Amino acid sequence: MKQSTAERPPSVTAKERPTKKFKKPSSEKLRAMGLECSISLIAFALSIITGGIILAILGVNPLTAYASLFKGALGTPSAIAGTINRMIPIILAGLAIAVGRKGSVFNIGVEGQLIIGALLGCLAGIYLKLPAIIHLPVCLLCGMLGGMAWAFIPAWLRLKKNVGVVFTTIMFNYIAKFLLTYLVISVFVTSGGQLSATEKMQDTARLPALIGRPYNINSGILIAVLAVIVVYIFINKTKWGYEMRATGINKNASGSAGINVDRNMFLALLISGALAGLGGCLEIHGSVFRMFADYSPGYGPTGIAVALLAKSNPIAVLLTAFLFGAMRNGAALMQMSTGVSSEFVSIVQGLIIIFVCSENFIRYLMKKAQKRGVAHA
Amino acid sequence: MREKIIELKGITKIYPGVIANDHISLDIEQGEIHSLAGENGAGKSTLMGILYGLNQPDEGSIYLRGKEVRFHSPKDSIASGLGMVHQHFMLIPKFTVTQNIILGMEVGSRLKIDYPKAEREVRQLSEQYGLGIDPSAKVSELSVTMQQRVEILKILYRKAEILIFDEPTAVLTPQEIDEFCDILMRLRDSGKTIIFISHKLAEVEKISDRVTVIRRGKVVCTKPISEVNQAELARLMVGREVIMGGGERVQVDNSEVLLDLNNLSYKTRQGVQKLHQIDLQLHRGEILGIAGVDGNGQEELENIICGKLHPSEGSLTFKGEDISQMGVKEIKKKGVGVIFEDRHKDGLVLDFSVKENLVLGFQDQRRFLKYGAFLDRKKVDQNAQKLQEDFDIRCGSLDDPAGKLSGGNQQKIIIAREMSANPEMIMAIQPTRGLDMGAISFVQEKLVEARNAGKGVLLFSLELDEILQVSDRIAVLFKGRIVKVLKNEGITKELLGQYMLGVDGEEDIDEAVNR
Amino acid sequence: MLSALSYIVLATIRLGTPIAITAMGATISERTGILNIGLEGIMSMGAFLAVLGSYWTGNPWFGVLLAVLVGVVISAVHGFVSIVCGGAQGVSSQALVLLATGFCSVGLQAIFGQKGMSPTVNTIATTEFLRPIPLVGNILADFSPIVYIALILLFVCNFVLFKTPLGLRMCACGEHPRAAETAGINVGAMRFLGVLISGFLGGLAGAFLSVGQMNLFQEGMVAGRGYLAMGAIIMGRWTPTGAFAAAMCFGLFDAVQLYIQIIPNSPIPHEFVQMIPYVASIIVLALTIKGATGPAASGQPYSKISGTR
Repeated sequence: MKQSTAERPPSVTAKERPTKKFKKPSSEKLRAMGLECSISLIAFALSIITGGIILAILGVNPLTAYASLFKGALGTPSAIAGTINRMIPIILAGLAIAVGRKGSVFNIGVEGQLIIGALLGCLAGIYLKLPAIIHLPVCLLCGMLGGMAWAFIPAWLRLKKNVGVVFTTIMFNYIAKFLLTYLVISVFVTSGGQLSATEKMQDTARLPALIGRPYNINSGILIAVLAVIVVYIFINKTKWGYEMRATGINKNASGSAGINVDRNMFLALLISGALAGLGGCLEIHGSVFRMFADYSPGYGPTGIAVALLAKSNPIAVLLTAFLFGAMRNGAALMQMSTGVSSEFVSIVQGLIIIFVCSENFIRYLMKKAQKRGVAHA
Repeated sequence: MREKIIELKGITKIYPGVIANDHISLDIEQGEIHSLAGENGAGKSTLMGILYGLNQPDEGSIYLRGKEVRFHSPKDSIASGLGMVHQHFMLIPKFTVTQNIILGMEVGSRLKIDYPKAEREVRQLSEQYGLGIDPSAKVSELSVTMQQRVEILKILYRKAEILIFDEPTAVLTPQEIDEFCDILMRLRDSGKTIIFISHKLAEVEKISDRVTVIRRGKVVCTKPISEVNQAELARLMVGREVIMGGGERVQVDNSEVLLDLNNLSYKTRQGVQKLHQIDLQLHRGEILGIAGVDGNGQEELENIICGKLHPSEGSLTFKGEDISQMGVKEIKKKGVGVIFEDRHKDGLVLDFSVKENLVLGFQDQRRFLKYGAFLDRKKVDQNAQKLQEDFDIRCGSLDDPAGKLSGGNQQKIIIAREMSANPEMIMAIQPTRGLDMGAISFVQEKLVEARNAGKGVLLFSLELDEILQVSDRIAVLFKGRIVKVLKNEGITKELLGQYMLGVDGEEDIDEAVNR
Repeated sequence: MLSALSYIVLATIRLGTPIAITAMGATISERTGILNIGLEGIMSMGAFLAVLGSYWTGNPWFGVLLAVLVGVVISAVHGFVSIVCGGAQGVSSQALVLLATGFCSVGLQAIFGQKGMSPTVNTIATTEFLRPIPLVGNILADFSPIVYIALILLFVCNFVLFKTPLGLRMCACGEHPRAAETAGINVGAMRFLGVLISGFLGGLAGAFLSVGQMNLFQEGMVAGRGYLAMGAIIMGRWTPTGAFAAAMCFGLFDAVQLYIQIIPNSPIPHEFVQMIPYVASIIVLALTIKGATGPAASGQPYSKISGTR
């Protein structure tokens, strides 16, 4: 770093011309985007292939496994509907991670924030008596506040004591799970037969169906898409988003420019928590309608893979969330028909993260391939 | 003629978009001090990096004592008897002197380092060359000069015969430079070969046997030092005449005090007193240069003025208003623009576009917003285009990331941005570091322009030449104290150097000034 | 009262040991400059493979061997990503956790045809040759040999890090990799070695959890101990001894938690008791973190090619 500051070799294009007035067609920008996309695609493909190899080692035919995964995800209209419902919380989890990363906070606590958000939203759905028009919004708000509250202490500890967010948020995931178990089993348990769950929430608190039976796509997807748009605008168009992005890339320069770095990291974590809480809520209010004591959907880790594959771009999160929603949705059928645990999806997610992180290597390989192509031509 | 110990033949190194070394050929003779002169960015460091094995050349070959060699890493070059003292010291602050020196060449068995023996060896070596180093001291507690000597010991310990020094005098005072030159001569007289990289021509002329001038990645010439003089070297280095000093100065009313530091002290949280009772006034229409050896409290003073730190005692006022407890943002709003030392660290967000960088720090000002919260793209674009024209920022497109630009153009972004808010005072911290001559004179012109417009300019620089060229007044910082404030009239480098080392001798110096 | 105390002390050693082993490995890794928050995953892989090895051969030591091997292999993946490719270390190591959870779950079903836990296997829960020692023999023998291995490792780690040339070089890579490189040290190799050591020890700790303490593998049995090890490094100020002590402190919280659970008619709901280790570790870390500074270049990618990045 220092070295390059001190001695920057002269440019070959000896005379850099000042730009002309008119806007250049941004073909270069498009090409750069294409490269980013293709790297994500390659990372994804490599993960699928490696996952297949692992399956083969475990004695399962990867082709049949993937075939049933695909069938379960997108094979029938109701499978597609299931995928869409599945992707709702995943979109929010991915957004939560993406926003955190924009503000240079790696929020591994999405899982816990999502649980607490879902719990709070659900309780509001059960116990508040409100007219239909405001009941659901109040519940969702409760969920967001819940997630935010769960992110607050780690954020505060980082701000005041400089305790790493990674450590505290992970601890808070565990604490959230125990808290949930306690509250559901000992305090808010249903009076009916099922022991380890709350009551079902009131009808006024449920998300209406977007497309009715037999597909049952719930309207949470609209809210999720709305969240994507809002986050996109917030990050890219507002002054606060500008400050957060600047903080995420270069804390020193941001601080020197008068941006309050600590506050931005604090905010990024809180917003991330709120999004996570909303994600939990949308799932509970959209398709489950009650909390189970062992609700631990694993959307947090999925969110990491989603956000990474999307390069933390909110719009791209929508696409990658679809991918992961499909995988998780299809995994159930795969488990039934081939006996491979649905947790196989976690392996693929882990692989995706690894391959995305090694993008430099992929770039290097692509360059080499290109060179070879040129040589052959 | 002496034996050629190193021959570089046709060394070429290409970075994306840049030819750093363009078929450089050069030879070094046994037992000489060979200077490599060239301005910042000419490709000297790249070339030495290649010779030392840090980088691989794209073309060309290296011959050592007539035999072709390839250095894949410093390990190879060290084994062949090369040693390098880097511009940014390669020392580990938490380690002791001994640990730093023996690193990679540990004494004792493979299982256990024999520290007592190592310390003995280091002490012996230090005495042999008269370096005066305490082997058990922690490097973080040593002064810059001493750290440099540790670096020298490090390569001597590795039995280096060919010593490469990369801009070794940049951080030293004139007096320290003299001592350093003595050390170099002593090393040469004991039979070592020395390659001396510098853009400071006085030292080049003083100690070299031969000099090679590099410009824009190419060798301009190699000559015995007796055949050239400083002026000629300067012309060879830059390729044209460059006049430093920032151009014409007009007489401006400089009676009003802008920034007033009164009895200001600063203690760190650990209780270390970094600044002692500083009294300093910056007026409108003047450039006040702050001279001093690195690490004498500059950083703390800068940070207090820009609002990153707050003084523990004393007052700090700007236009009569107390700003001592204000943060960066507030002070900025009051009309203080800051050009930070490290462009990449503090000045720019390299991944942001040029456009975005041009509003950094002003992103929440109404002139760039619509509806109070959204950045108005049109206004941001207009701002960028205007500043690009005014400050001649050269880039492919204003949407390019700032990291793609050359150092000079990056610095222009920062200056343009800070000036665009029309501040009343500018604090410039090492604003020309690492720039080539053209860019340096541009920056200096802008500073003088600001001064002529009645603004106050506070200039921190480690380059005495720059301080002397640009300042109206000079304050010298030593161990956290302002030891002297002088009018910049008839002051020599040597005199400043004495103050920088805390030498008092009031009378003699006053005499010198009056002369 | 005495029995309560002795219960807690013994349980502390048992519960602190896996965290301590992992934390020592991670300390070495961070000293070379590589962050490895994926140890949670490495531990669960280790635990799973140890059971598998014991299940296949009937010899738990073979399981231990398998566990450390898999630890080394997975950490090599992390090493590849973060050292060779210069990827984000925190994120990459999080991938190890995902990989491991997925792998264990898929493996359980594919190999044992069971969900959630494995069948029981042979273990190394006791150190029988210590039993003849008078007075304390019975107590000592009730610990797994891995506990003693951990103690030996403490000395080895300290010695390697602070007395040997290798240790000096490793530390240099974590403080100022460029300086290390100019001194002729292969930074990548040193860092790789550090990561592999952390993987090795993580795998060993995992094996302790499954065949050293229990006799089966259970999903989620690592329960955050890999993460606690990360806290232990900070609390222990990046020294093996410190990390060991901090890990024992976390072990104590866990022991207290277990002890309260077995008290009959405890007024505190057991979910809250189970939270103790996690809450306590946050509090302790927050209280002790002031002034803790790790290796200067820890977590920063360094590659020779883009060395100046």
